Amino acid sequence: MTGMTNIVKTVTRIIGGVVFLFGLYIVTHGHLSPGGGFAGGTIIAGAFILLVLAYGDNIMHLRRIKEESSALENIAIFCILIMATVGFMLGAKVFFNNFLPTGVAGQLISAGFIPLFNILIGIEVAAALFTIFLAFVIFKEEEK
Amino acid sequence: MIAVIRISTREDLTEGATIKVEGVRYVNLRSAVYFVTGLLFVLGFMYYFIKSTLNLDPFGVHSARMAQVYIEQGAELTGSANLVAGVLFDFRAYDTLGEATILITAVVGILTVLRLKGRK
Repeated sequence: MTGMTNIVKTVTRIIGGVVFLFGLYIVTHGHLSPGGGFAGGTIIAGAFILLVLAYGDNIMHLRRIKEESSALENIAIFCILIMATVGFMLGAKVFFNNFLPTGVAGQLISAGFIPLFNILIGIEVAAALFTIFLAFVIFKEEEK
Repeated sequence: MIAVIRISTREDLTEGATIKVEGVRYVNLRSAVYFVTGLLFVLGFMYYFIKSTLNLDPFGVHSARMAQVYIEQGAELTGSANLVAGVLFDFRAYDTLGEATILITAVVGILTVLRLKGRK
């Protein structure tokens, strides 16, 4: 897959890191401000998609990172399930028990396992959207 | 119910409600059992339906018992300053797990459809 023009490449070089950091901010501050795992994960996936679209890549490398992002997605949702059952085993009779200390509302490290859950959901959403994008790109390349 | 399932076979589909033996009509015992069991099931269902509707609020009166608790004690119960995150990731975390599962299913479906190797 070929990249785009020099203008797009330069703008991507400036913007890409900022978009990625903004996604990380949205994910990690999900329990304090609007946003969370779904919104932040979409922004992170957008940063990666921007890079691939602007610079292009050869198909073997694209296939490999597709496998990696697919595996990452499955690992993230497996970690979510493990976290849910850990809360189940630590005494309470509900799935997804908030087993960590809740702390003071408003601080960055508070709210028990909600930040962890947010981060895992962010990884899962970002990897899922990136995998879908890569599947379309690889399909188009193989069709030729 | 289990007894009905145990004694029923595929040939019962063609059986009538009555059996004629030596010129005399008898009621088929199996169909009688089916009828009584179905009637009991419907009556029990109706009984619990009526009992549960009696517990509801009168028509037109709004009551928000769960929502009231979420709004008043959400911050101290979950420790989250963002109430939406508190509801989505603590009270309704099961729902969020379902949303993540939908994404996984979408990815698996797209990877299956866009596969050239197994097409021929």
